[in-house]
Amino acid sequence: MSTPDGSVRASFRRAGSALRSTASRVVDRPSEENNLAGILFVVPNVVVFSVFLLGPILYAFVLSFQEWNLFLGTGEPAWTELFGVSLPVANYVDILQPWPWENNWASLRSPSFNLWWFAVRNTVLYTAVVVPVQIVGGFLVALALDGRIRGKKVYRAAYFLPVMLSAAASGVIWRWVLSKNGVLNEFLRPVGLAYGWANSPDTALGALMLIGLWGGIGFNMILYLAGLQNIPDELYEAARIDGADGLNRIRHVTWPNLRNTHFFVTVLAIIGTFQVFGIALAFAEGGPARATTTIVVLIYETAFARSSFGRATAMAFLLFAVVFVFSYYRYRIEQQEEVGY
Amino acid sequence: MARMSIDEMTKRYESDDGDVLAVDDLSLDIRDGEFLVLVGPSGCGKSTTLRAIAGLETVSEGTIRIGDRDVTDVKPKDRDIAMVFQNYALYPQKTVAGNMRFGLEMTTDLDESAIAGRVEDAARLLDITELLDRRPRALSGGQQQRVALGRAIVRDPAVFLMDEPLSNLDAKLRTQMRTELQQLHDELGATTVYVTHDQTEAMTMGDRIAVLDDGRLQQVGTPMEMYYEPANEFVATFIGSPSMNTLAATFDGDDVLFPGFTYEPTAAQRDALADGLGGDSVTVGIRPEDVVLADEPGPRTTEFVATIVEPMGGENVLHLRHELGEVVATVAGGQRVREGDRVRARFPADHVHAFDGETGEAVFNRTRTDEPATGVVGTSAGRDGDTLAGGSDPGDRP
Repeated sequence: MSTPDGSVRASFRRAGSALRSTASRVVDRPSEENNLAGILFVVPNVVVFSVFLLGPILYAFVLSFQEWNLFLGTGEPAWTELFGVSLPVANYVDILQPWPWENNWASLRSPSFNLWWFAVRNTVLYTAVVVPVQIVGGFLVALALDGRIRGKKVYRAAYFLPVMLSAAASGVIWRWVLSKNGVLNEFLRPVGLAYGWANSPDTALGALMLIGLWGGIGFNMILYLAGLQNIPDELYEAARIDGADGLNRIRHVTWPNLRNTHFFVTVLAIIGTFQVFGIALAFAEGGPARATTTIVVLIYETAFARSSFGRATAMAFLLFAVVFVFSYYRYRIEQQEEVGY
Repeated sequence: MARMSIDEMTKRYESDDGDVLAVDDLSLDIRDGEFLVLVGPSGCGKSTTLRAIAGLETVSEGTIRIGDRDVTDVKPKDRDIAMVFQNYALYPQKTVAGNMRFGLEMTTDLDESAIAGRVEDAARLLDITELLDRRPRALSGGQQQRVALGRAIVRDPAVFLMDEPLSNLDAKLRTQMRTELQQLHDELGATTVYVTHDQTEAMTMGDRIAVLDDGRLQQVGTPMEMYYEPANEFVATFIGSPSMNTLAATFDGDDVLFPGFTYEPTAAQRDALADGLGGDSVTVGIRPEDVVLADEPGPRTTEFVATIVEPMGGENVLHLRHELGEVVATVAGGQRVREGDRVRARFPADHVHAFDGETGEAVFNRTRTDEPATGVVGTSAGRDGDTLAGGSDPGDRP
C-alpha cells in the first residue's frame, strides 16, 4: 500500500521539475544559481542544527563505544567478545548484562543486581501508570471545563499552573508536602495515617507518579480543550436527536473526534515519562533505596557522579531506541488507520 | 406522519446589552404530510424556529405540538423528529451504515436484523447501497447529503426537519437534489419543515411557504399566493427573481404621483388606495417580468434610459433609469436593447401592486391569473391550486 505521503512527494517533485524547466526557459540562467539561493536559505538552520544537535549526537554515539577518560579527554574503544567476535560494545554489554531472566528477574525486584534494569523497571512502572491516568485525567478535566460552568477560566489556570512550574521547584514542593514532617502528615497524623511517603521505598515511586500526574494533567487538558473546540456543534446536536445521552455523546462524538489529539497527547506523554528526570532528582535524588532512580536519573549519575561518559551515552542511546520505536510505531499505526478511509 | 403546530412561540436570547428577540410570537399550523418551507434572510429566526421544533433550543414562551402531543418541554429524541443539517453532521468515524443505524440503536429495541433491514431499505430508496461500508470522508458532498437524508428516513419520524440542506452543494447538484427531495417527499408523504434563505427553493419545493423577517411571521401561503398576493412589501420583494420593483410615490386622492410620472389607477385601485392608505405615501410595486415595453405613448407609460443590460439568453434584464428611480424589466432574449437606448415602458394596471408607504402593508395586489397554459391538454390533481407553470403570466407579454 503506498502512503499518501509518497504520492504527495512525487507530485511535489513533478511540480518542482516543471517549475525549474519553466524558469530556465524564461530566465536564461544556469540552474546552479537557483540552487545556491535555496542553499543560502537553509544554511542558518543547517549550521545551528549541525553544531548544537547533530554533532553532539554523533559524538555521543561514538563515545558510547569507548572507555572515555574525562581527565585526559581521550577514549579507547571498549572491546568485548560477543558471539566469538571482538566488538567495541563493552558499554552496552555491561549495561544490559546480566539479562533480567538470567537471575530469575531479581534485578527487577532489587537494585543490587543490575541498576539499569531496575531503573528500566521504575521508568516502565512510572510510564504505565502516569501515561493513561494523565491522558484520561486531562481529557476529563478538559471535558468538565469545556462546558458552561462558572469560573472556568480560573479552574483552567489552576490546572495549568503546575505546567509552568519548573520540574525542580515542583519536586521540592512535593518533598515538603510528602515528607515525614510534611504538610500532608499534619492532616493524617490525627487519624493515625501519618507515613513517610517520600522516605519509604514502597511509596516513593507512587509519590513521584503523583507529581507527574499533577503536572501532566494540566498540560493534556490544554491540548484536549483545543481539540474539543474543533468538534462541530452539529455533531452533538445530531447525536442528541439520534437519542444519544451524555455518556453516549462522549463515546460516539467527543472521543472519536479527538483522534488527532489522542495521538499527539499519547506520543508526548510516552516520550515525556520515559525521560522523567527533573522531578525525580529534586524530589528524592533517585532514592530512597533507588526507588525513584529512573533511566535518565541513572544516566545523569553515571555520567556526572561516576564520570563514566562512555557508559552513560550508551544508556542514552538505549533509551533513545525505546522512545524511537514507540513514536515510530504509533505513527505507523496512525497512518494505516488514515489510509483506511 | 403527523400534523404539527406552533402556538405563539417566542424565543429570546439574553445578552449583555439587552435581550435579543430571535422569534416573536410565531404561530404556524403544518398539515399532515405537508412540505412547509420557512424562508427569510439570515437572522430572520427561521433556523431558531426549526431548532426549537427539534428541541435543540428551548422556547421562551408558547407551545409546540407534534401530532396531539405537547412537546414544548420534551427532549429532542422523544419528539419523534429527524433533522438534516446544513453541513450534514455525519459521524466521521462511523461508516455510512453506522451513521444511519445510530439513531435506531439509541432509541429503539429493534434487533440487529430489523435495524439492518431498515438501513438497507432507506439506502435502496436513496441509491446509496454501495456506499454503506464507506466512511463519510470518502464521499462527495452530494453523497454525504444522501446519507444525512438516509439517517433521517431510517428513523421513520413524524416530522422531518431540514436546515438549509442544499446550500453546501454546487449549483448543478443543488438543482438535481431539489428535484430528488421533492420526489422523496411525494414517495414518503412525510410532514416536512424545510428552512432555506433561497426563495427559488422555497417557490419550487414548498406546498406552502412561511416568510419570516426579523423574528416575525410575515405571511404563510402557497407559492402562488406569495407571488400574486404578497401581504406586504417585504414578502413582495423577497419572493420572485429578479425581485419586484418598489417605487415611492404619493397618492393625491385621484392619481399616484411619481417624480416625473403620473400613474392613473383604475377605479377599483383608487377606492382601495382611498380606503387602505394610512397617509398619502404609497409604494408601488411591479415585477420586472410585468413591465411592458410599449410602441406608443399612452396612459401608465413613460420613457426610460437603459443603463445596464444583462443578457441571460432566454431573457434580457434591463435596468431602466428614470426620475422616479431605477426600474428593472425583463424582456424576451430575442428583443435587442442596448445600453444607453431610450426605452418606453408601461406599467399594466392589472399587474401593479400597492403598499402603504409607511407600514409596508399591501393595499391592493395584482390580478391573479390561474388559467391552464396553452398546450395543457389533460389535467391531473396537482398541488392545491398551484397549477400555473412557472411564475410568469402568459397573457400580457409583448
